Amino acid sequence: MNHNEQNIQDPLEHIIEKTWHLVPPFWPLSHLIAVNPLQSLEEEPFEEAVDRAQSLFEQKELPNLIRSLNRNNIKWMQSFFDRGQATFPMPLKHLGFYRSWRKLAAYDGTLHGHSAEKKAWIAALPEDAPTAIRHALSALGLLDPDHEKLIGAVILGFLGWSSYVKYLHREETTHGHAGHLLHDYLAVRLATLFLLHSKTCSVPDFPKRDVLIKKRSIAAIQDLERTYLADLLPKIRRKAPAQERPKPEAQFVFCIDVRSEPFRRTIEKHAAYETLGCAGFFGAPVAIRDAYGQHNACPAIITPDHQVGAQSPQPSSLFSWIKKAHHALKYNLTTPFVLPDLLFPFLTPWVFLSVLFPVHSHHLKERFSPKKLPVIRSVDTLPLDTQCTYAFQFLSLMGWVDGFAPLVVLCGHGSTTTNNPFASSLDCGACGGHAGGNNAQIMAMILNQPVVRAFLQQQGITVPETTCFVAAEHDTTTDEVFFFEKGCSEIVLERLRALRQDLMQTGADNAAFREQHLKRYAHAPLINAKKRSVDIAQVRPEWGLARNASLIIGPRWMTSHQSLEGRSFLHSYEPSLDPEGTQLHTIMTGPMIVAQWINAQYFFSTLNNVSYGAGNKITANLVGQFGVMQGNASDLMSGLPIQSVWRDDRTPYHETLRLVVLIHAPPERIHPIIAQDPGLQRLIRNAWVHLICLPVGGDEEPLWLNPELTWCPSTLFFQDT
Amino acid sequence: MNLSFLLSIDHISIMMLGLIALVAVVVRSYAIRHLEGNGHYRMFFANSWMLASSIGLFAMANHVILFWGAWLSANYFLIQLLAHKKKWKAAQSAAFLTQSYLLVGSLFLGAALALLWFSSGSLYIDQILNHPHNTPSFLWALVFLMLAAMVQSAIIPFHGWLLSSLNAPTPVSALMHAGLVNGGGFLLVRFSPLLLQQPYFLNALFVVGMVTVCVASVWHLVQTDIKRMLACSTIAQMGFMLVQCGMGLFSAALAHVVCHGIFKSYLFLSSTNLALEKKTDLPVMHQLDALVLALLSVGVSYPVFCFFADLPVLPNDTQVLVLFMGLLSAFQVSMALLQTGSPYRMLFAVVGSLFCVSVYGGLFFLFETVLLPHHFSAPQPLSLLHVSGLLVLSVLWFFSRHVRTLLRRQHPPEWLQRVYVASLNASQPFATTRTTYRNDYDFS
Repeated sequence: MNHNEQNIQDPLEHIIEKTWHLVPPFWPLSHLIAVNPLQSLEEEPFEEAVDRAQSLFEQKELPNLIRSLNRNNIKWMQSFFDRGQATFPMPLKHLGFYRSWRKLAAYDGTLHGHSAEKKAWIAALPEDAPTAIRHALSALGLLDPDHEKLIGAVILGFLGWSSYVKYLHREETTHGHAGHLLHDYLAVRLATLFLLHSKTCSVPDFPKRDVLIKKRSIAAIQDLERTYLADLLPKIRRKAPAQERPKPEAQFVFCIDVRSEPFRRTIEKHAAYETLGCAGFFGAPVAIRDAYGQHNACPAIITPDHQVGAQSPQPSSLFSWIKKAHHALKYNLTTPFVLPDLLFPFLTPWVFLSVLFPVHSHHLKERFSPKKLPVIRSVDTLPLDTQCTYAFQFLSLMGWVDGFAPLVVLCGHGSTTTNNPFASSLDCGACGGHAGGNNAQIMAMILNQPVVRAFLQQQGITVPETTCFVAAEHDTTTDEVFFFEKGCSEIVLERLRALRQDLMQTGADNAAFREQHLKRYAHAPLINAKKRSVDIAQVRPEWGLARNASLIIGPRWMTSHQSLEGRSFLHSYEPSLDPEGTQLHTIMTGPMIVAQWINAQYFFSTLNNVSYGAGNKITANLVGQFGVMQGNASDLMSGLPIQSVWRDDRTPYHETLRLVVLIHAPPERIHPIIAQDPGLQRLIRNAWVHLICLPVGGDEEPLWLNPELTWCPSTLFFQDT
Repeated sequence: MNLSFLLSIDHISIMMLGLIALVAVVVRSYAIRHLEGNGHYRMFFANSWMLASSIGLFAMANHVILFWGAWLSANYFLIQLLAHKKKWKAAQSAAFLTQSYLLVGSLFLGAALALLWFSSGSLYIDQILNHPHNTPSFLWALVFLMLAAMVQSAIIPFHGWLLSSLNAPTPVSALMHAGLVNGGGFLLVRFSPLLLQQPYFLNALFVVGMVTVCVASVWHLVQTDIKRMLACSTIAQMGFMLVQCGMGLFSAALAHVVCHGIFKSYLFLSSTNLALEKKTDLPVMHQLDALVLALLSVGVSYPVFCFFADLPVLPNDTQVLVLFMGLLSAFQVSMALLQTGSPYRMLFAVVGSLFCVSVYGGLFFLFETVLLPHHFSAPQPLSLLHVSGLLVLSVLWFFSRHVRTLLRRQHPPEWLQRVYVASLNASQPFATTRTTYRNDYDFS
């Protein structure tokens, strides 16, 4: 495009682009998706990137110039990006950030200080943001060489808000819009800077390159990784068990999520159940449309082509009327003064009950409005050939071509927490930060269609007629499993009843396992889990994906006999059925990348919770229904809160180690995949992940792919170079 | 010395004690889980226990020195709770700001109590209240008393400290909005017999309250972060309490203080749920059939209200405020329910409206009756000032939805844009209490 060509030639645009490149996107609270806060630095070796990030993002000092700029900008950021908190919203939003700000700035005394000269300057600001950036820079009296420093300080000195802007820009551009936001934001910031300081006598020296920060010891991280891998490797079975296993009564497909691993292990103990793992969107990358709008139910690296309608649970009409009346009284200028008195007789016992007896009060509430999950009615919006492709890819990715049990449960996962700003970070990341029940329903529906089965038959996957796919959702907070059994035959329902008994026991066992790490209550783990999930005071409802450490790609028999302590992502893979390596390629460029994002998010939120995390939940202040500030007003706190990764204010719970990927496949199959993919190469070369190959057959020693991309014995991994 | 003189246990102190006990028990239970793992865990419980007992003592005190001492001690422990994070400058700064405001307020109170002692010659509040007063020092005492109440209840222009206090942990905010800010209201109620002797002072309270109501209500609705929205709402509610005091309806004011305390502490404790809930839009006012039907349902509720509140059909004194607010809420609820589109909507409207008037009226009656022996309630004759106040409240209510619509238009009127920016600026927390750089924040 012409515009783009201009950009490349223009030095200022180049600087702007370069600076924005450093900023990671930050997803809103409605669907928090894990990202590597050092995303842009993945081009550099890990060690250098961490150092560089330290000087870019973790500096203790910020020039006063930028501080006062931030102080003024927070209110405009809050107001413009608000998603519906304010009853009286900021006017003129439809003009875009820069233009609406330009209009309103004329009335803002804190900007122009009522000086006629400055008011005139605001009035004379150009219409479009890119021109305004130049205008402001020249008004600030800066020479070209100083531009880079100033723009760096302006964007990186307000990292949280910049990250959110980056996310919105990303959304805009993936939907095919031009995306003005990055320039709008910069224009507002620079114009504010001029209004507050007129000519800057000195360009802010930020981020200082040469500042002395205590260098982080990579050795400590390496030690953790080595200890972990030394412990893990012997646990992994290298040869398929000799004895023939009984035919499974039922099979379960779980998300690769680390929380699935202990649950799978517990289920397998109960009866002849078999479990498999794949990314939790179950090969159905769709957008879900429901009563509240539309969202992508797939990993952030995929843009869905199709959408499916979901029937969102409707609150009972009595509830919705009460809510309507309540809101009508609340959000206006006069009747809120009656509200406390009106609610007094009901609220007083409720406050007492809900805080002191969370479980009982929850049951009481459930009686009036029971929790329901969204239901997918049909997948007709997906063309038949798409359905066939989804189904085929889904099964073949796991190397699943035969041996289907009469009952196959596709078990997505979601979480139930209350009063938790970061609730969606506990949901399924592979479903775009939403619960996975919808995707499970879609794939189960597709796989139950005779047409699809016929297609699969042609492709060599024989699903017996007696096999029925059923969708389910595992609640990772309460360890309950909910089945979507609508439309199931009587025989299937009969089987589900038996299954449910075992799942209850599984839930209790798994809750007991998790309780060891939550370390507060020793007895009745299921009730404790429930209590954590419904308690408005609870800041650690569950540990989420904390302590995640490895991704194991291979058949289940490798790991089924050992506890991996809920630290491993497990993806099923059958090397003998994938000679070309196409499935492995999909796994390594999809789930593996997502796992690395999650790992990096937990890693850096633990490493420095102030710079990369969201800080403490107890002082969090929700802004605009999309983010969290700390206290009165602050930078937007991107990342995970301290309570998600630290046991208390002093001891981390998550271990800062990089993802170890273990692949059960011949090394000569893995190598070309990496050689062809620059993204994967970057991760391995720069040691953002460690890759271990477990050669098929089990006789050869594990191999480590070193940063030079050559295979060497895994023992070298444990030695200092 | 007879110790029983030190304390006075009456209906007001029992009510305040009940409120404090409930909030303290709830906040304690909440904090046990909410603050788990926090480095200042023990300090929180120690300070909040002291805070709650100080407020309790304050509610019961009869001796002026005890009264003042308890007030000082409550404020001291609040400041300790606010300054919980030693390394977070914004939190320290907010604590310092609060300390400055509350210290001035406490000095006002000290001056007021000293002058009352001087003019009545007694150190006991019950004796002071029964003493006839008309000296200038007594008038000055009342002025200081009102100022002290205004600072403590964050009435404009003394609202700065409350707006800037949100660097505190959520349970502290809950305690503060349920306990501390009510101190002002309690003070006015305690000394209401004195205030009632001076109608001009009541009018002053009414005007100050009214200004706070108007301004802080607008602030409340322009806020985009949940905690500041709640703080602005508290300021407005305290303004309304002042309006009630200014109309001589002290028992209604006390009822409001108690109800609001529980209400607001719960909203803070569940602030995330509150912030993330999907909102329904306000009812439109220009729907003629709904207007007529809503009027009809309010008409049905009118006699019910008068029955429950034990009010005459047309009160000719300031009790008309109670009637006005009760019927206005009934009307608002009717309008909202009439616009649901359900076939039974008229029925819901009537039920909703009857609910509002019976609860509001019943509560008013209850507090009036319980507090009757104290002669708190002294409705004033209706004046032009009162009527114009009610008119302002009606205008604000009627145009709430309209303002929202105007703001979302392509070309909102210029005056509205000005008002928007002015409200946004006026409701910002104090500059040093904002965290301008994320690395300044400290979580421990």
